[in-house]
Amino acid sequence: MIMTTRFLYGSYFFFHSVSFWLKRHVTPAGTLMMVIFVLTGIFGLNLFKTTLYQVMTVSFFLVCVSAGLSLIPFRLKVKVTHILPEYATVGEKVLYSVEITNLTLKLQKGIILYEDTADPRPDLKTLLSNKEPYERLRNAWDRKTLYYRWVWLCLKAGKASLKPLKLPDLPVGETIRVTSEFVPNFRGYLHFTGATFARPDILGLFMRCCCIKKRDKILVLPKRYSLEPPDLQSKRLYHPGGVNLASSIGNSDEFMSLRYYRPGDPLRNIHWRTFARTGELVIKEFEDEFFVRYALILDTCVPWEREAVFEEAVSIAASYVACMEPGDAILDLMFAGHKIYSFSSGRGLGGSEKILEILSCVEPCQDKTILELKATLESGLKRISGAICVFSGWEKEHEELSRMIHEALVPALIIVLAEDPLKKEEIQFKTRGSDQKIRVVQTGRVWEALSIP
Amino acid sequence: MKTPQFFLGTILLFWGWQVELLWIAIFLVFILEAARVVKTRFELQPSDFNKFVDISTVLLAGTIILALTVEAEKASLILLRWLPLIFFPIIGAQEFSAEGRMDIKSFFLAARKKAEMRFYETKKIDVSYIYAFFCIMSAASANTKGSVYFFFVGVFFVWGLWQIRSRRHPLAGWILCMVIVVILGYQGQTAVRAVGHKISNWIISYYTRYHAVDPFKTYTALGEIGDLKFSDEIVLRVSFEDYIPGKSYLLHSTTYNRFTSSNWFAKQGFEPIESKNNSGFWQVNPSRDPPLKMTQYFRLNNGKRVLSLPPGVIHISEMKAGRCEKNTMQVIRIEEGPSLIKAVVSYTGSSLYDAHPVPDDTFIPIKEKPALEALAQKLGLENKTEQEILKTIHGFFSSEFSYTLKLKGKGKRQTPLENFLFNTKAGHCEFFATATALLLRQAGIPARYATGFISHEYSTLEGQVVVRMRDAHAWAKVFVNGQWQNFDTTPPSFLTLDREKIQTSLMQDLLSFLGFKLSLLRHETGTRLMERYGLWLILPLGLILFLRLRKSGQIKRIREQSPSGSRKKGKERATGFYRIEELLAQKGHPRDPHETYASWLKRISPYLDNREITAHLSLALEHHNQWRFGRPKPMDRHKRKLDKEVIALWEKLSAML
Repeated sequence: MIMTTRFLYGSYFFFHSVSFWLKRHVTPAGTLMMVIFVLTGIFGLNLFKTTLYQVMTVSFFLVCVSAGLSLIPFRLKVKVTHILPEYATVGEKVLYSVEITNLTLKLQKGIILYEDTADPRPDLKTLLSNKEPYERLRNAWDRKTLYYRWVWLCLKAGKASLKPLKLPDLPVGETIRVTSEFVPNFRGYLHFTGATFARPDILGLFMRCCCIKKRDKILVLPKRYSLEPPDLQSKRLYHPGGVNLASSIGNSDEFMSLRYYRPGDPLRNIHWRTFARTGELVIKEFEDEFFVRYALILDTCVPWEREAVFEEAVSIAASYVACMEPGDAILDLMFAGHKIYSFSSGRGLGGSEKILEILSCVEPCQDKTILELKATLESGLKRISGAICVFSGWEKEHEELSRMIHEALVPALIIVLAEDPLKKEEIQFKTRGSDQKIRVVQTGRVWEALSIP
Repeated sequence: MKTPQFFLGTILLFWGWQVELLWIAIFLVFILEAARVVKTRFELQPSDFNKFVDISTVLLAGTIILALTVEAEKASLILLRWLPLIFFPIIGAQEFSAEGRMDIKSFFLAARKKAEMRFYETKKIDVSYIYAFFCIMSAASANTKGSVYFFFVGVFFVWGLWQIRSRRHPLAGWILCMVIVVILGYQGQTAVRAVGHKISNWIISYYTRYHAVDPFKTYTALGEIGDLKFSDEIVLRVSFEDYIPGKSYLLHSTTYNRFTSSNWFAKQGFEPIESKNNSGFWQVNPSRDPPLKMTQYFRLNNGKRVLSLPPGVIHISEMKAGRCEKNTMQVIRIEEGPSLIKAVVSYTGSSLYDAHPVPDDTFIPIKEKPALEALAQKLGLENKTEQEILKTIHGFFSSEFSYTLKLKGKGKRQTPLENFLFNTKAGHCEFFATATALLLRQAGIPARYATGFISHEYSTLEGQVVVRMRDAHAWAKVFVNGQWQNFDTTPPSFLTLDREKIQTSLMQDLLSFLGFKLSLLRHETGTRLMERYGLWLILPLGLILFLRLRKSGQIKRIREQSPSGSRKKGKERATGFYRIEELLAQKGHPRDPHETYASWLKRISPYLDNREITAHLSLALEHHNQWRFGRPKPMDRHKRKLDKEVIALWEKLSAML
């Protein structure tokens, strides 16, 4: 079994390389010409019935001559600069520019630019451990050969397909700027590793390539919906130690009074003016703060086959992060990964961009349940004014977590995702007696379900 | 990438000319090229493209079925011939669609149905070059002799590759490359043809030597029929008009008259028999009344067959064969035809038409001479009349010889025949026939060696006489009383022995009968139905077509030349900005249909590489937008000034680009 899988993995790996090489070295016309050669070779085998062999010979020599001419060396010295936007969003067109400076001593014409991105091919372990979202619908053969899983993983790692760009003439020593676009399909970092400049041969069938290394990256954020901030009727709570204790970094400027120094007080809080006047060490005291603090609990414990649900959950979480006013409240994002993660943002603790970046890179967790968050949540419940829970389903652990929040008298908006109307109805039936604000949302219909007040 | 203007049209005309469907081609060209003139376009959705692909699929399936029904062996050629017509709905839909390209998933049924499982990006392709290739492929089915096809293929390749050539290189270089390719191609195709001929000959000779019996070979070796006898496969189905139950009929295939080194040879050449108006009627010999009649069904062997017929064939009717030939010994062979062939044979029942004896009919090889002389002397054939000789020989083989399929070679004797005559005294029909023919020659009577089948088995299942491979038989032909007649000395028990030795399988017979009936349905009933009701078969196809297009009302038609459009055009002319767009499009910077003017200008500005022009263009667009979308105003001085500016810019651009 493992031998077969290894063989399949090796074959996919190899054919991916071949296909990549062909895409870079053969133009669409060249591909068509090779297909013509093969087809006429097959159907024209009987020389006495058709004259297809004549087409075969012409296409053969076209391919040969063109391939031969494409072997002429191609050296290009250029400087490439990517001008990328800071962020991109899944499903939205990204426009970016590339500046190219011709450092050679002659005018360069008819060059095609291919963007090189990080190798998307997964390793064997990833291929075996991951699952494609629609794997349950595939037939036995497809499930056995893992082809669709391979394609899925490649596409996911690739983030987006970048189209080749036909460059205008590159005058000697001058810099030209070209604009290109792409639509990212998956969230996360899209790494640019360089640029390949291809030059078609005289017949336009094959290309000679020249690669230039240039590393860059762009963060693809999850898809976001324009949602209203949730009305949780939360109140400002007393937070001992102020914002500086809300996180390991940051400080508060809310001055209250002066007092004499006690051992252990931070030296930075010494009031130096008083010390200068009186020679006594006097310490500044700061007022503890009252502010709103929300917890955003994301259910990442989703199996691979429910990838669509997970992506929707991440999108909803990102939408709420984006719609929160950073000056108003602190937002704690909690989810389970290899360990339990809790990140805070707002009120000087960093903008929502940081949380969005985390959400862009979050992956589903296979070996844990959402109950792993229980301890973290329990300790933080006293400080939390409201909670937004994005659950991928409604199982016992979800019920337990929501009960805990309810018992702590924390107002909460609980969003439960369902793949289809049937599942939605089932969850609605299960949650009908709950006192909490529970919204069951079908994947693909988020805006309709959550835009209703 | 789109094909050049008139490219597809010319290829279609070439196809029509080659396959003799010129009128259809002209009609298709008219439609396709109209797409360049008529500005009406349809907003085709992927589901609409699916319908057109479905139509082509239905047409393809229909053509395959029809081709297999009418001429199964030429089905691939028929299909190839009609390819451009079959795929025309697809290219037509693409050419008249607003987008001008097709979603690749339309071609894959699984991809369409499992839409939710698709995570690939939509890939759109232009199928016009693929269609052009199909037309060239289809034209090849005409199998035109000479260099006409090659010349046009060369022209189409050059024409098609012209627009994708690299502009970086000088034109002369490209022309030189193409000339080299065409010359190499021409030499290559000549070489391929020569090599093909050689390989074909080699394969045929290899195949004939080791795997198949060439039905047209002019010799036979002792033992060949013995090999055939080990199969119970039904090779002939015969219905005699004057069938007498229990009677055996000899069906003659070939006659040989020269015996050397255990091989029989026939040197007679074949002459073609003309068919009357290709109606399947073949006049083999002059008519005689009243003829007997028999009908037989058989299959071709590698597209050829030597017919197994009763003696004295006058004519054969209802036989759909490409070529029919006969020699002076009344051996009739055919070439080309459907896989199952029917032949209605009129015959006299006696070998009236066989050529009179030649020296080969009395020739005895030196090696066999001593044994035959000894035997003739022993039987006392020298002083007997022809009838007495025949009777003696027949009696000799009946009384002293037995039938067996076990061959024992030549033993210690000089030849296998001598071993048969003096040692084993047992053998199969070939030995009896050879020995009889040579013994008759020794007695001074011209004799020949004939092979064929003996039909004796009436199948109750099929209601006709079936002839199996094991019924292959050999006998002698003797010239007595100025006429050739069959003379079979093999002991009559051979039929019983063969039947016991080679058992028949009921299941195999049933399957064979089923296959025969299916073939009959396809070739006889199917063809008749096609001839009578062929056109009606188009009806269900047309119905499917209609159903697929029933919802065509949903397809949105975009008319460019509507009454409001003409007013718009007037406006466009007035502003002049569209002239600039046209000019830039001509210079290789066309605006995509979905692109706004602003984004278009932004995209092409690096290519223009002139800040002044770019600034002018932006200003002109701003003015255009003000005029186009702003409040309608009467023609004022400002507008006239703007127009002048645009014209100046246009002139500047045309000079620069």
